Amino acid sequence: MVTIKFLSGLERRLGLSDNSYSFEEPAPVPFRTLFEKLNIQNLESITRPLFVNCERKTLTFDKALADLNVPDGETVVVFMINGGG
Amino acid sequence: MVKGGYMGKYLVVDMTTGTCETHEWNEEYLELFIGGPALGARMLWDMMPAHVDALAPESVFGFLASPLNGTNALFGGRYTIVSKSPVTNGFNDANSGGYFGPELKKAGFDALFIKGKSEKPVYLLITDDKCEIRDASHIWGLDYYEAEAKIRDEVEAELGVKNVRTAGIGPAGERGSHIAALMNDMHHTAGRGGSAAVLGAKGVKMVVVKGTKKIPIADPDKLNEMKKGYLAALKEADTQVFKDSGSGEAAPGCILGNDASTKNWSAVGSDYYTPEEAEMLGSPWADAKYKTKSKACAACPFGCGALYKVEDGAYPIGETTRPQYETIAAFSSNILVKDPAVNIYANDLCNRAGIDTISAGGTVAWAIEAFENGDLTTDDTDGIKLAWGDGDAAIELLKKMCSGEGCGEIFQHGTLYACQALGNRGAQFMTVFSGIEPGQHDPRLMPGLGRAYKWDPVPGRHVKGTTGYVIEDDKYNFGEDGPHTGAADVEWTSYTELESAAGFCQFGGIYGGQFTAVEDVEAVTGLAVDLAKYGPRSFLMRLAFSVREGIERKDYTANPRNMGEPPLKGGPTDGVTIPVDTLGERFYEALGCDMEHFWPYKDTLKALGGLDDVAEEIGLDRP
Repeated sequence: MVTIKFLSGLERRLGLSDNSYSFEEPAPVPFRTLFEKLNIQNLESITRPLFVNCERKTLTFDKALADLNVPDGETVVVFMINGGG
Repeated sequence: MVKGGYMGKYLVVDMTTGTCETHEWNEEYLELFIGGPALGARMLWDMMPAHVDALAPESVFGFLASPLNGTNALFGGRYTIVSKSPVTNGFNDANSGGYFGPELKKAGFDALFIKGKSEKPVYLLITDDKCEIRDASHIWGLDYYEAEAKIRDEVEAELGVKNVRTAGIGPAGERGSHIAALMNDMHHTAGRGGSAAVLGAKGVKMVVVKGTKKIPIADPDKLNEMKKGYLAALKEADTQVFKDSGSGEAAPGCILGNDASTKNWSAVGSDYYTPEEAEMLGSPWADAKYKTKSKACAACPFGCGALYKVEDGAYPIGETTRPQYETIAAFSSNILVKDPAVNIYANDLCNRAGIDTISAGGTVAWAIEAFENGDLTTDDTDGIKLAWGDGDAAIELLKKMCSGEGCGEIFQHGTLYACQALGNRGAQFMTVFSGIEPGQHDPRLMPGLGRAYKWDPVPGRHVKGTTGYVIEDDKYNFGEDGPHTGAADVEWTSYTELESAAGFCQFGGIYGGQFTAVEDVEAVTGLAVDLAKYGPRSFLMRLAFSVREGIERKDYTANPRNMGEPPLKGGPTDGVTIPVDTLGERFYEALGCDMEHFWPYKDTLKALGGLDDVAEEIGLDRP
């Protein structure tokens, strides 16, 4: 099983009801495959850069879509940098 | 012609002679400089001789309320302080929210300038069209929270009113700490650049204001109509996390995404923090345990401040203020600490002492790295064994800085002063920009910040300039082959110059998507804002003050580490180096400055209006 988790309310901005989704996929599984299963329609509305953390490494969202294979049992954390101040 | 937004007068208080004078504005100044840093720089240029020490009696400290203050224009609650910086010896401005700015205007004044030096500690009481200088011996030496509570109770009882507003200094400002912060309305801070030391040098502990006047608005119907539109738009935006948890909600993402400093800007956040550990440093986690009340600035629909009550953990300090993002990052990932109790306590210590949390965290991080490298020893730290991740040791050093005792006499002045006082040991670890510790946002992720951190007359600020996130712009390609950033940099900087002048909170844009400072200023003042001229005029007026002090291109310094020399390995900024000199050259070229000094040409200044005398004094002849 692998899990995608969203930080800091990002799930609401993406129109999702929960901040965590688990998938019973044969792992390793491409992050792109998992993310597409969420069927997010408004990704373009996120104007801040998105990042993905998996196995203690942070990647840009585009790099994760292109390269990341998620091992079994891992949680992939998706987040954006939304300012601070 | 100015039709609203101003009370038409400012105060000049001479602490040496004990006199308060009311002056009417030169209306052209309001039309051209509008407010905030630009108007403050213009006034300091006129009022101060060049080359005086920042802490000398001839030095001038200014409070500037903003045209939006008190008008109910959304996000328009911020005021500005200006002075010469004791760190850079150039111009300094900082701003803060709360209610002080609006109240100063209600008392009939758009600004307050303080010069001279009082023989004994004083506070100023400003009420409708009046200003009194009063003895403050009984609050001198008290921490800021205690001093404000005491003076507030006294004045409210005497005047028979509630909600007097205050701004002042803690013990750090009294001692002339170069990282002293001006505090106001208990929890708000104009912290950066050391201006609070200038106020302390004048013997002024606090300014107390209470007013009843109505603030004129040029077009109130238009302002109200715009406000309804903004509120409707804000309902559409997802701002709940920010409303609930303030800027500290960003900490987990910034730590994992390498926007926050990790290990004094030397490491990758995700190498040291799991998502779970990063989440514990975000304010949503601490809110769940400690939050008792939300707090908002004037005219703010968000309310990003809060009070905490902390009765467990390593530092059960009782009621305190929720740290903002900058403080959280400065006292967590910056020093590799994982316990949120450390940044909550550090915030409380700094606020009470009146010390800038960003600079304090930066100083502690430098000291830790120098200590770990053997450049500093326990002889330098009063026996404190500094180490990465040791929050208790960091707090002990911070306490010394806040009290100014022992080694705190040196460290209380920030990284640059401490390093120089200790014989330049550990100088290679100073991550400062012209002596100022930067905000907790990484230029390697946002290259425009690199330009602003290094090349703004007020260095190290995350609220000046910026041209967006590096990953959105041609994948780090800002080098010689990359897009020419100068015009875009000037354009965006121009907007932030106006935001500061207007008193508009940047969170209105960052979290609410409201970039409405131009429209708001026009509705409130009746002025037509030409941003393409206003921005350069504002920036170059600030710059001119520093140029007159002799500061030029070679004097702007930075640690190459902050620009990715050498680049980080791993994480989202893997391999990134920011060509900060190229960014600076493009910016100053687009502004109309020379490349050798980064000083403005005479014709550049004269074309902007209101700067002819400045041009004659410091402008260069174009070759």
